Amino acid sequence: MTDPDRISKRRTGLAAHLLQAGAAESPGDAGIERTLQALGVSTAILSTTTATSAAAGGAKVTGAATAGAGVGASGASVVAGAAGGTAKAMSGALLVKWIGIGVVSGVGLAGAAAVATAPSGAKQVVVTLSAPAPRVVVAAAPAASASAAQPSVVVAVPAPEPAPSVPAPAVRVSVPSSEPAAPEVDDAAPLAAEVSFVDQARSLLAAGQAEQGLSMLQSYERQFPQARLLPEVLFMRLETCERLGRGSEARAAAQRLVDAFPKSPHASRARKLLGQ
Amino acid sequence: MDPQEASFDPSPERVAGLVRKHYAFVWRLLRRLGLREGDADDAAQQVFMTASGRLRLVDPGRERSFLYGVALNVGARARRSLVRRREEPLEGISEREAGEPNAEQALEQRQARQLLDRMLDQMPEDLRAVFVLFELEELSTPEIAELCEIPVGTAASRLRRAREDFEERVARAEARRRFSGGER
Repeated sequence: MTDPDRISKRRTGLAAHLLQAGAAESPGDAGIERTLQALGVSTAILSTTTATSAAAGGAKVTGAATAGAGVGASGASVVAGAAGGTAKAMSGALLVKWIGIGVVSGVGLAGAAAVATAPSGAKQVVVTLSAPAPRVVVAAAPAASASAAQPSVVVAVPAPEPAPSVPAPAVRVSVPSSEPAAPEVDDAAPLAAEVSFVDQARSLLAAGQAEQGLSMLQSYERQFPQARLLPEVLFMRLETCERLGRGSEARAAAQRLVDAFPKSPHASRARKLLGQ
Repeated sequence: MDPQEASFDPSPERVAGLVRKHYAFVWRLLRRLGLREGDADDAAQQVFMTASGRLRLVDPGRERSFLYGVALNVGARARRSLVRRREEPLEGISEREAGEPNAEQALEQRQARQLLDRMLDQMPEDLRAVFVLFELEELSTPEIAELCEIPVGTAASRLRRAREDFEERVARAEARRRFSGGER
């Protein structure tokens, strides 16, 4: 049996336009975080607890890589939206005409004016360990702090790190291979790579290869300018430097953490280190 | 799956991976099945709570279709228990959308989705699920048949009727626009 051509794939027409808009919708990150918290796995990937990771070794890396592949899937529909470029190519005026004649009753054009004045500074950063409390089921996860809408990354202290040699050959890049790469996760790859990268650094640290792990962490921001896992990375740097007796570096990481992510669950530890 | 593996709870990594990878799909499906944004958040959470308990029974690689199945059930239940979508005025764009590069486009997309949802709201529920899975989630008819536990022929027939229904509504809207002189 052959499926018919999808209406949503047509290049023109209102029907296709509406369907493409539907396919392009994506949830906010807060919902994902809330669900992760409700399931008690919000820190499953980013946990700095390494007690079991040494023993779990390879399995942990694999698991995280799989998870990492999914991390960005939240952005998948954004990709779909971009793919449905024909929708965007259609003038908004088309829709305005429809709405204007009452196909959707009660919908006015006043909203268009609101757009001009809408706040545009609020950007979400994907990985924070905070999210609004779950609405449906609250399962532990007490540490909610910053609201999701709050701009949460303000890096106040740039850290001019000398470029350490990245132990690239030592890094085993785990590419999730259990599932075929769906086209919709393409855009998510950078975040998946970030998670994978950080997890590999964590594995090195857990295996006692502190210098190598630290070197990776120090190169993180250069490799991933968006640095969506920065709070985690800073905290790991803080911990590792402290353990290695590199007090000034530990304090520098702590200061950045406190300045940039004051409500992060890790900030209190950082404040203690700074004697605040 | 290794039967031994099945006797253990899924690892937190697998559960977290499941959520991160599939949340957007599940949420969007719930939205197109008629839930409002906040309700879709809650329902999506329910889907993953339900799914995580049974995850050990799901073969790797089959998670997505498993989740769709759970989402169809949760979505149908949620829809029944919630007040049906009202003709609500267009809300302003969210902060998230406002942060997007083209906020005006975001607004236009939102309006298009509202119009789409109103058309879907008028579609019988069994047709709607098949239509959404085919047109928006791009599942094939056999996949839809398996998910909805109906024969392939039935899925194909529902799809055909759903598409006719949808296109007819769009055509009617177009006719109204012409009649009211909206066309330039």
